[in-house]
Formats: sequence, C-alpha cells, structure tokens
Amino acid sequence: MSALSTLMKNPVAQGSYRKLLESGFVPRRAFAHYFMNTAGIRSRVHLQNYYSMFFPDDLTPVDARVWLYDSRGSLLAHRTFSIPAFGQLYLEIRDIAGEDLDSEGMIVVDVVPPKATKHNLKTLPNIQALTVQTPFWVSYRDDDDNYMYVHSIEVYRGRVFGAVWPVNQMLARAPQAREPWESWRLLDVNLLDELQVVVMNHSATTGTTRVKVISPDGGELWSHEVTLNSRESRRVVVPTEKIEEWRKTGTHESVRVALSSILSDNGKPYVLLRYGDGPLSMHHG
Amino acid sequence: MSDVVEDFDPLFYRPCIFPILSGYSYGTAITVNNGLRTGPYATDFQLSLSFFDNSGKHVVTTDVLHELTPGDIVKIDTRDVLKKLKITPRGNMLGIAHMVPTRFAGKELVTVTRGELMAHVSSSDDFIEFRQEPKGVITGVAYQMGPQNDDRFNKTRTTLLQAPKAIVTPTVDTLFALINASTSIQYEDVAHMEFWLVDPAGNKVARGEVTVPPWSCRFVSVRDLLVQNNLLDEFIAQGGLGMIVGLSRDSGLVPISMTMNLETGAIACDHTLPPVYYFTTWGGQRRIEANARLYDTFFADSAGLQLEEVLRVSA
Repeated sequence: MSALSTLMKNPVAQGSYRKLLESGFVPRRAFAHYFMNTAGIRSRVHLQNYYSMFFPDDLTPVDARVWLYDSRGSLLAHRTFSIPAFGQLYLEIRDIAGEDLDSEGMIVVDVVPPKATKHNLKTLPNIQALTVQTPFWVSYRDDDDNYMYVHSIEVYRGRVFGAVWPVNQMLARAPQAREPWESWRLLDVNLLDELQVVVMNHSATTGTTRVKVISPDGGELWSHEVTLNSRESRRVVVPTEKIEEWRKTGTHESVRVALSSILSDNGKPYVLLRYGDGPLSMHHG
Repeated sequence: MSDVVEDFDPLFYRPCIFPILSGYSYGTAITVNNGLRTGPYATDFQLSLSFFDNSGKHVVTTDVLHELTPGDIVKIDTRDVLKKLKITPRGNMLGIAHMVPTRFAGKELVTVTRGELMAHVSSSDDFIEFRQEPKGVITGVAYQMGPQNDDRFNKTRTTLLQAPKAIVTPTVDTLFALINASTSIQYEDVAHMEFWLVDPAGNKVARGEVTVPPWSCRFVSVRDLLVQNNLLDEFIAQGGLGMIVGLSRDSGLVPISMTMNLETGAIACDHTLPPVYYFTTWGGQRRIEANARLYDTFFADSAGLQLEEVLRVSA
C-alpha cells in the first residue's frame, strides 16, 4: 500500500481531502473509444454539453479536449473544441486531425467543467465517492449511409484529471483486474459473412490477451493472441475459412466472442459483423 | 430502506423487456442468459415469455420454454414463438423474457432482496436483435434492466433523455423507442415525455410530446417531427445532426435510439446513458431538484406552444 493510500485513511487527511473536493478538485476520467476511418467506414464523434442538463442554472459553454491515437498508440492529433450550452459536437476525423486520415485507433475525450460548475460539484451526493466522467458515442457509416453507433464503454485508465496531482497519480496507477471475458451474444453461423473483434488497451501498462471464438457452452473454436501497449488497438479479423468450416460441419449453429482477459476493468471489445452480404453492424462486448 | 421486498411477482425477478419491431417489418430475436454463475444468489431459472400488443394489452404468457442453469445462454427468435402461438403481430409489440428461479415456480408472490435482484441484473447483458434476413440486416443492442416504475425500488419516476444521435439524411431517420414497463403485468400507469430537438449550437428546433401506455413501446421519429414542422430540408441542409432532450416527470422510461436507413434497412441501435455514467454518485434529492430546474429553465418556458404529438406507430 502506498504512503498516499495510508495517509488517506487518516481522519485529518480525509477532512482536508474533503475540503479539496468541495473546492471542485474532483477526479475526472476521460472515456476512450474506437474510431475506424478506413476500409470504407467513416467515423464521427457524438458528444453533448451534458453540464447543461445536470447544472441548468450554470448555462455556459464547456471545453472538450480530444486526443486521437493510431492503432500503435501514437498520438495523431490533439485539439480542444468548445460546446455551447445544450450544444453538441459532431467531429469527423478531419475535424480533429486536419485531414481525412486513413486510420483507426483510440479516441479520448475529456470535457472540462465550467469554472462556476466546478465549484457546484459539491452539491452532488457522496462527494468522496464522486468521479466525473465523459462518455460519448462514435458513429460509423459506409458510403450508402448505413449507420452503426456504440457508446464508449471504458475510460482511459492511465490518466486522471481534475483532482490534485497526487490523487490523480494514485488513481491512474491503480492496478487493473484483467478478468476473463465472454460475450453474452450468440452469433448465427449460418448467415455470418464477417466477424471482426476490436481489442483496445485502455490501461497504462502492456497487456496480452487471446481473442477467441467459442461455442455456446464455452469450448474454444479459434483464437489469436495479441499484445498491446497502452492506448494500442487491434482489429482482429476472424478468417472467413473458419466461419465457412463451422458452417459446413454444422456442429455449431451459433458462436460467441471471448477474450482470455480484458486489459482493463471494463475493457470489453467492440464486435463488427456482416451477415448475408448486408451492411456491417457493431456492438460493444 | 429495507433490503427485503415482499409480495414481489417472481416473473420480474430477472426480466428482459424488449420492443418487437414487427410494425417496421423487422424480426426480433433475443439472447438471454443466466449470467450469475457462482455465489449465494446463483440459481436455476425457468424461462417463459410474455407478449403485449401495440396498445399495451397483455396477449399471452407462455408456459416454461427453457431451463437455464447458471452460465447457460439461449437465443430465441420471437417470430418462431409467435407463430407457434398463432399470434400475428400487428403494430409494434412488446416482449418480456421472464427468468424465474426454480424455487419460485408456481408462486404468485414471493419475498426477495434488492441485493439478489441487483446481483442478477449486473451480472449479465441481454442482446436484442432486429433482423431483416433478405437484406442481410441483423443488428442489435445489449442492455440490462432493473426494476422500473415500482415505488418499492424507485423513490421517484423521472427520465432524462439526452441523446446526440438524431441523424437525419435523405435516406436516414432516427427513431427513439420509449418503453414503459414495471414489475407487474397489472401495471397501468401511462407515461408522458416532453422533448425538444436541439441543433448543435444548442438552439431549440422543434418540440413534441409522447404518451406511452403501460406495457407498450412508442417511437419518436425525428424525421416525422421535422416534417410536421416544415423543417426537414432545412435541418438536413444544416448537417442533419442534432440531439433529443426529453424529460418525463411521471415515469421511468427505457429509451433506445435507432438510426435507420430507409432503403437498406440497416439500423444503428444503442441505449442512452443514465446520469451515473457522467457523475458516478448522481441520484437522490439532487436528481429530483436538477430535473425540476431543467424543466423550469428548458421546458416550461415553451409550455404555451402548440404541442405536437409525434407518434409513429406502424399498422
């Protein structure tokens, strides 16, 4: 246990920390999502000024800080955008990177609370357990205007904003659970043309996992190991020959996706599917 | 508040409640599971289905269709079940998969704890699929649903909808499905939601109201809202993107957004995010006060406007 964790159990330290929280220094985590601007798909960020809904007496613009990383975790672009009260941001990749990049990877969004609202965070219940978060959606569309969208499901664990520096550091270094994970969705083999699994490392440390396709009762049918550094992502394509093989043998009418371990507390994958020569569809794990 | 809940209908111990898009010519399938594999609350389930018609009238509750031991998963195409029951869907129906602990079989009311209900809700996602096989469209959404509109679980009944997913193009519409459900088939409270379509700059574009009968699902079409206000072309010309801000002050509604390509049938589908996604301790009195202030500042100033009932219910 770190010295800081021990210190936080001290009643005097707790009282001081509460005063800091009440001054507005509340931990804030940025959600990190997947963008795909390649292979005939275009991505768009959908984000609203949610402070207007929760603090309707403080109707002011907010700043949204956006970071774009490629699949190797390298920073492509970082920009800040203002969102009016009750307004929204719809960002194409060119709006962030300055050009319509052929790329895919991680997009991170942190919404900075307005000054007046920051001081009003103390009006929220149980402030000592409060974390402010910045969920958003990414939509994906093809040239025929077929849309998919999914909400962000995990924050970037390696950086925390908003609180005082030592608290940010302590929270950003918290170890991740990295539990095994199995999807609860059964995918019909008969109609399945394509199956792709997007794995991302939302944690601050390198991790290895196996992307698996399993039978309904959990038996492994196929797997592929990936090692990802922090902020890296990988779109793993399940070979169409394997899908054809499952279809031909007829042993499994449906399959599931699984990971030997997710790489952060809620770092479930995104799953891309194409059925019967139709448009792609996507869901989170 | 005691952890014990008496006189609880076991049909709603671990429900999966879902819209059936028959009115839009989609088949609906569900994948449900007994996700709590271990621990004191792990239990065997008996699965049955209930269906409600477009008006919210209870049509049928089936006998037990499946037995699920902890960790089991099953996929059910509602078209197959309805066909066997000789029910022809008219409009958009509502379905419930009831997962009832075997020990409660045949009992009308039981005693449960909030802890065990929440353990089952949080251990699993249910997948709802909408299907048009000839077009290769199979898409869906995963969600969990705790007890809705039951005073024993929810001190107040409100819903705040904030969804920056109102996408409209010449070939695309966005629908917001709103489900009014509870913990008893006898539930009879009508729900109302007022909403605004808001443009990216935060300006109000068009206003509507929707009434959702108990045990039904109603669809707000952004395209219809714009057409009724002669704003469709203008909205599309300005980018075709906006947000629906909705507030129900009398019900906990379950909102799901569906962005539909009217030619290919493709649907982007996702639930909206509850406030705890934004502020992790949100709730209680603070929630009540904030929703009241939001109503005063955002909705009440336009109460004098003529309201448009924007219901899109396919026959």
